[in-house]
Amino acid sequence: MSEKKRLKKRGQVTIFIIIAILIIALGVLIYMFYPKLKSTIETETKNPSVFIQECMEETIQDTVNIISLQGGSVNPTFYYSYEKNNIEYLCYTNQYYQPCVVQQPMLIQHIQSEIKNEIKEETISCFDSMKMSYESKGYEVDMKSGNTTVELLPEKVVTTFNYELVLTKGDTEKYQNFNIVLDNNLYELASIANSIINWETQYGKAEVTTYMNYYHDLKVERKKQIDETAIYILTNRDNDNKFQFASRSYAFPPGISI
Amino acid sequence: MNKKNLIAFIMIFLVSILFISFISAISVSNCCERLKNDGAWCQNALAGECTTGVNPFTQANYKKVPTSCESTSYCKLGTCVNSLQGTCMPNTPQVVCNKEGGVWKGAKIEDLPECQLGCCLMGNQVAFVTQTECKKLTSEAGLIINYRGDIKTELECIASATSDEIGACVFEKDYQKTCLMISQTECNKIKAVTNTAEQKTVEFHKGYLCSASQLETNCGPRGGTSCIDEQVYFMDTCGNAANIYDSSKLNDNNYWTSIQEPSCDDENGNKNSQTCGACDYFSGSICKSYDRTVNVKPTYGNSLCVSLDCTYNGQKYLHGETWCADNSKTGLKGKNLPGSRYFRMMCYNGEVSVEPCSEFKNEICIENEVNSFSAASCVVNRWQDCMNQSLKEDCEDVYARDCKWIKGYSLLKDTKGNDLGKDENNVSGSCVPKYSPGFDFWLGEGYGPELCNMGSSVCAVEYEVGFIFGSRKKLEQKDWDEKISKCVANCYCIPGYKDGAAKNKYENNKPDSDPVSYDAWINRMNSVCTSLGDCGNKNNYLGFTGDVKDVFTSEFIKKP
Repeated sequence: MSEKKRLKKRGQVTIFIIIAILIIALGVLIYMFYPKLKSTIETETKNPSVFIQECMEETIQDTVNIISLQGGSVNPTFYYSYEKNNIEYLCYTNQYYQPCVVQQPMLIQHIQSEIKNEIKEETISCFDSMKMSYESKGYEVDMKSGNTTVELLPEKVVTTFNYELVLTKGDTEKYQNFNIVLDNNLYELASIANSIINWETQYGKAEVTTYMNYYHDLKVERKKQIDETAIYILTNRDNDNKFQFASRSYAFPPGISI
Repeated sequence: MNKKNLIAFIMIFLVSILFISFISAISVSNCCERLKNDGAWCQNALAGECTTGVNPFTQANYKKVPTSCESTSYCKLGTCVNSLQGTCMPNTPQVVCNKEGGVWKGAKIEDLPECQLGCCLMGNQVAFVTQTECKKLTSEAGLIINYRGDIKTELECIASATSDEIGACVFEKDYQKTCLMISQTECNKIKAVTNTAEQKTVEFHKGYLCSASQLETNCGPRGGTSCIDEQVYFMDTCGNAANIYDSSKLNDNNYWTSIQEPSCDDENGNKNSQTCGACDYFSGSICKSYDRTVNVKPTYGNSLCVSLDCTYNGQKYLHGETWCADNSKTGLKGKNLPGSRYFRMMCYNGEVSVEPCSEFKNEICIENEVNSFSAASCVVNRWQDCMNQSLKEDCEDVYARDCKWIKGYSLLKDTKGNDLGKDENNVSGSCVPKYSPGFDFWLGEGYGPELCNMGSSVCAVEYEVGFIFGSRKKLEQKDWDEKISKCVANCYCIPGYKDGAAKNKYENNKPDSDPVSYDAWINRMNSVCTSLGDCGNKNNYLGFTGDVKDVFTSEFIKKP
């Protein structure tokens, strides 16, 4: 009998040991995978600002890149084709010996408007998918859409979505004005482009070395084409941000022209 | 019409063309609000080139008026003012400005007060902008506007950028006395945000470095080096900038105590110096991190003044130098051959870039060297009115045109065939382009063949064949040597003619301006002809010859 009791006690100890090992193993597993679990949980309850940032940032960046290579327009209408890019004329004359006529006097506004128009569809799509995402997680979602503004500012491009979002799931959270800030020198480059156009209208060309002497991180190139179109390429040497545009001013014909 | 009159007629015609071209009487008759196929706005063009239909911006039909754009209301040029941004753009048509939402003004940009540029000072940054733009920039940066309308140039504006005097701002943080190298204003801001008890500990020490031992902070000397404002600076152990890197001062306590100038500066940018961090962009150096594949290792730290100079085709160029090149084969450079083009080369930031001058040699590259520093520029080739010049003095007026005078033959002739081109000694000559222009023979624009034809010449040689035994027909069949013996005028036009071989009648009366030999005459004529443009027998820019044509043909006629 006593032998039986001793065996029973031994079995209990073994079970306790096994349970202890299982608890420790579970603890180790939780410890090892906790960050992933945490991030999964966080993804599920992602902050709306982060959601919009992740959804829209690439579209804005791509649009800025395209616009920068095409003289400030997503779909240039009057352009010069140079190295696979259609580059918008910002100043042009079809005549010889004449100064160019400005085609885009408000470049910065135009770029802002182009970016805004290009991201319109994606904006609607991103906000809709955010709404659906929260609804699928049991939130009551009240979203009021508003206008979008794009601002070119020194060293950045700021996109503001004037949307209002109210999330209710027990508590109520309210979010307004979603901002996406892109580090980019488009404002500076477009301002230099304006200055160059100013020179083009007066003298038919701008001295590129002057700009490089003033702004040490700036590279300015002027590539004269066979029809006397000048392609200007402005590059920030630090981050490779680029802006290029075309101009035709005080053109000279081959030989003489009447 | 005899040949002389014909030549005179051609000359007058071509001179007229050149003259007309320069008063730019361009034969377009319409001002198109917009060109076809979403083309340019406000261009003078033929009616068929104007777009038709509805302008989506105005909902009215695109306009087209048979007059120049300057005479219309919609395409009149003026200044477009962007009242939101504060920018102004000259030479803008009214319709384009309105379309973009700007305010169009008929006045010139320099006459509009709101378009005048000045210096916008924002902390240690500046911008050369209008007052409105300055307001916008400063409000975005949360600063108070500081606009200097009296500063009239961008260079002056950039030079006026000054930062507040900095010093050591000592304060307590996490029970430690620490320090930041900032201005007194910024230090006061720290003081304002700390609690009352800690405020007493915030002190500003003007001109001192955080590494100064007497400040007794946790920031010590020798915390490495870093690039700040394009120069190499010593850093303290808290990450604050100290003085400019000078390896000889690494263990000099005084150099780590107060703000001072380095003594190591070679005043040439200290390019690739292992010991000195006083870089200078205009001397051709800038602070960069040490790269063992490119630079020498600095004695201390990992930053140095790297050289911005360039090497091109084995030759060294200084940062900022520009020089000329053309695309002709070596040896043919500068000959203005068909297909050749001038290029301006630039050395900036260690990189050589190429700026092509205008095609067809409408721009030439000129180069100047001062103290071994070369500066070049693409400038307009003013060749167009060379052939109109009858006086050598006018021809060589460098302020008016780029031409040269070739003595001995006049392109310009009166209706009787007499030379019009004369120098100060009344010797005939021709004014031709100094840099012969190119023509686009494949499109046939620019009157290339007509211009080249100006270089064609007829040389009438006179022979005395005699009454009884000689005849024109007999002489025509003789070889050139025999012909020379019968020659009495313009004998240099006969192949093989050399001084003294002709009949005394010619030699004794030969004008000084006549060439001494047939070859000399051919060379002179070739020089005139090839200078006019892509004319005559020339190799192209690659050195290849084209179709060589006879430069000499002869015809015997009886003297009229």
